[in-house]
Amino acid sequence: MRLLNIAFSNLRVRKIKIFFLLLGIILGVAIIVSLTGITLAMQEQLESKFEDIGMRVLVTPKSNSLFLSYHGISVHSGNYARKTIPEKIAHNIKQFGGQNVTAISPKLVQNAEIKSKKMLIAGISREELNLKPYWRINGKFPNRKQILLGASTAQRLKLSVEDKVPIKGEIFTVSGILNETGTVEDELVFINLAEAQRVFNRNKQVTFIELSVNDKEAISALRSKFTSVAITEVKGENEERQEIVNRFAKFAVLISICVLLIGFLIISTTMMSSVKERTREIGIFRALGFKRKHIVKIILFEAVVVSTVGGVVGYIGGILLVKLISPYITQFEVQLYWSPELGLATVIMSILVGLLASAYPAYQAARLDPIEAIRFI
Amino acid sequence: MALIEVKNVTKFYNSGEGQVTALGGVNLTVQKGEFLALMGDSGSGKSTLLSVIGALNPPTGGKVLIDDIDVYDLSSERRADFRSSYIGFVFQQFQLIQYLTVVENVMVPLAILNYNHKEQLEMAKKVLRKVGLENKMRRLPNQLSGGEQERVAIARAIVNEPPIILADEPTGSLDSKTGEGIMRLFQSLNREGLTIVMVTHNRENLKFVKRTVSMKDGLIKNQEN
Repeated sequence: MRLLNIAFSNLRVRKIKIFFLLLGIILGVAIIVSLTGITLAMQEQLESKFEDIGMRVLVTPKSNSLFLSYHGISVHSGNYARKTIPEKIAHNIKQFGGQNVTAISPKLVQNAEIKSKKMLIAGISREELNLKPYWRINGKFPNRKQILLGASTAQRLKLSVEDKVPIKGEIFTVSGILNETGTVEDELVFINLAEAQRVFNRNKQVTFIELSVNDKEAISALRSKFTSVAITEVKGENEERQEIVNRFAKFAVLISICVLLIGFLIISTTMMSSVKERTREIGIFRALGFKRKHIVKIILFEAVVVSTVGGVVGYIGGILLVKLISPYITQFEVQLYWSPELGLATVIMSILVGLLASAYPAYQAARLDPIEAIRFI
Repeated sequence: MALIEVKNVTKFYNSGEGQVTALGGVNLTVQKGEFLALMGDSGSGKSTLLSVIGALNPPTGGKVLIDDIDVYDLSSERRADFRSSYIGFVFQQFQLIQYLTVVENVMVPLAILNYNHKEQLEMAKKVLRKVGLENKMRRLPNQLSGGEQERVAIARAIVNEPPIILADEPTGSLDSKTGEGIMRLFQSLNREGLTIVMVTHNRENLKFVKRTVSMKDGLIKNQEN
């Protein structure tokens, strides 16, 4: 017989009360774990996406005219089709930037009529694939006399792979269709850069150069070196996602604090009523020679047992909950996030809250005057 | 040799109707090996005196010396230690822990001492054998009769071999036959050397004790051997 046995035996007989207390702790822990799990998974996803893409930079002709911007790709209004920069700048930038430039893709953007519809045509090189590793092409990258269609464009023009279509008097074959990207790329027609330069008569010229760099300082270096062009950092999808994740993280912390407080109060109230119900029993223990510290230990042992079980079950429940609820609250696809660190942190947090919440009830129990407690008189 | 010395002990309570005198200056000496009965009507102060002797209820005035130790000179925590090693309580209504089995109830006083489980079990079995409940060790208190529960309470009181047993109305809730059995058990424990102070209002019990002290209005009225 140890004090722990007394604590365990007491928990066994108070099944219903302990069951509801456990349920409360499990729910609270599960909510906190799922919120933390979703936040961590989103951050991780974002980081890996960032590693894929890097910081996006746009090199455009210097102009005072207004910018037309569509989802991060900016072109000058009005004269974008006419104003160009030499393609060799891309080569120079690559040389100057060295390893800081992870991908660079010069583009010539022009418009042309396809099946009587005015379309935006982007001449791109194979480098575009390095810049956009998330591209999935149904078919092939366009070569000579070939075009690649954005998902929406293919639908609008009712074109599929191998179909032939005239552009500026020449017949082009659809070499591939881009899977939906959720960006303006879905609306474009892609063509080989050299082909675009030939068809639109823009020899060795490009409208803008898109590149990704892995170091923010490289952007300023490029700016001071290449003064004849405008170099701008694109606030891309990543930043928008980062914003969502940051907001969600703040929300998660706020909810977690509320849940912790509610959990604290539930444990505290239950333990307080438990002490009240056991006044006489505590008096007997004291009369039999138990010191205050022994009474405190019994109460805290109970709290530790309940909050450990609650923490472990709550953690497992929370992780499963992530899978269940994440599709409804986030656009991110969240993987099951089993992390020993998170599990350990959860159980420790649960035990700490259990101990803190039971500290006052335990103190009250220890303070009981044995003679009052057993009403000897 | 005096094991218990109660010297001019007073105990006052404040109630709604003013100050109540529970003990009005009690002097009492109990020798080692005595079996003493405290008699008196309810409200006479006999249970208060028992709790004061038991190091549970600090008196308003006076001293209680047990084995020459001034009990109320000790801190509350030291007094708990003192109770653990000197005094075995048999409370009114048995006061067993309902969620612990018979043997676990008997082992409770040992839970705070340095015995391993095997030693605790041996000690508990030994006293349960003594009170005749060896075969009901795994039962819960509510599966026992009143007399059996009283025996468990006695086993719990003697398991760590204290020199003194304090019993408050141990036969109060038992029929006369069962009560007599309990009194015989106390008598045999006394013969083994235990000093017993027992509060009772049942005159039938007096034939088992060595000395009777009568109390009235918080004072000792007379003592008879």
